[in-house]
Amino acid sequence: MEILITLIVLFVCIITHSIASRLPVLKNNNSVVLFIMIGSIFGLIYAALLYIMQGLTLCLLSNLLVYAFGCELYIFIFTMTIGSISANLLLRLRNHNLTIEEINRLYNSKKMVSDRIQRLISVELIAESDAGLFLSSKGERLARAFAWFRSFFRHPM
Amino acid sequence: MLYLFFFRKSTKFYGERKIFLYHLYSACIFSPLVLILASMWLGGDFLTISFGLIAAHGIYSISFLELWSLAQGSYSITIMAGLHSQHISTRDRLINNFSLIGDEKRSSRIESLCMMRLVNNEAQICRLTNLGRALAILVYCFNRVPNLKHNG
Repeated sequence: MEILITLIVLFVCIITHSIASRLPVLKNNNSVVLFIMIGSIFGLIYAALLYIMQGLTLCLLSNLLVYAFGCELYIFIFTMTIGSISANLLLRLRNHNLTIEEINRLYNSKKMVSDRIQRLISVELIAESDAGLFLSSKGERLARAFAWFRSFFRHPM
Repeated sequence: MLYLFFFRKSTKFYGERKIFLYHLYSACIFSPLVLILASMWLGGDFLTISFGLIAAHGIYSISFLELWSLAQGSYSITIMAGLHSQHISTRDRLINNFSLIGDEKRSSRIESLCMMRLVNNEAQICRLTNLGRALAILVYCFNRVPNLKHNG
């Protein structure tokens, strides 16, 4: 029964995110950041209510874990639809069939790299100066962290 | 723990599909085991606690798979790693250096969509199969809920 309430809270949280992302004041915000903000507020209120009703119990922790898993799954799915070429291709093919030539033109590799670089600049991971592009300090930290992950997972360098 | 100490070092255990199956099998074994053990040892709350433990496994698996695939082949991470080794580069040089990745990604994605029977490629024309259309509608819904506009 409690799990059902947790799922309802999660559902309401997703609906709130959907409405918030359409509000003129918030619609230019990063979707992930917006959901983290809304999800955290809902999570904190739900945790406080559960704590008042039953104290610190294993059930409270379990409900919060289910809520956190739901939030992570939702972020995982919608970020996948932002960045995945396959998801984007499915969306385009949903509207009309495409020839290989049209796909090659739409997904022009130079344009794709250029778009990615622009996105990295907009989130301040890459900085631009007269001399060219370079990693910001935030970008340096992320690049170092992923170099470590690549070696941890034994991916080819 | 098994991954950390044994599987990570094995070349037979490398690859997106293998790592995904490792987590899938693990979840398939872990979930019923938790439900059975919790029903034996815990009282009326066993279902809530079991779902909590299964959710913890889910959080671990999704985070692991996301990190694994980002570290392996994320476009942005690859560009950043390239820039990290070059320190500074012009936009054009960076685009030329990494446009090859775009070509590889595009052709491999079309191939894998055809292999998964989501897309038909007949006479150089790609069209969605029924399964592909159903998945495309699902992707569209997930795209609309958070009001996303930029893709690809």
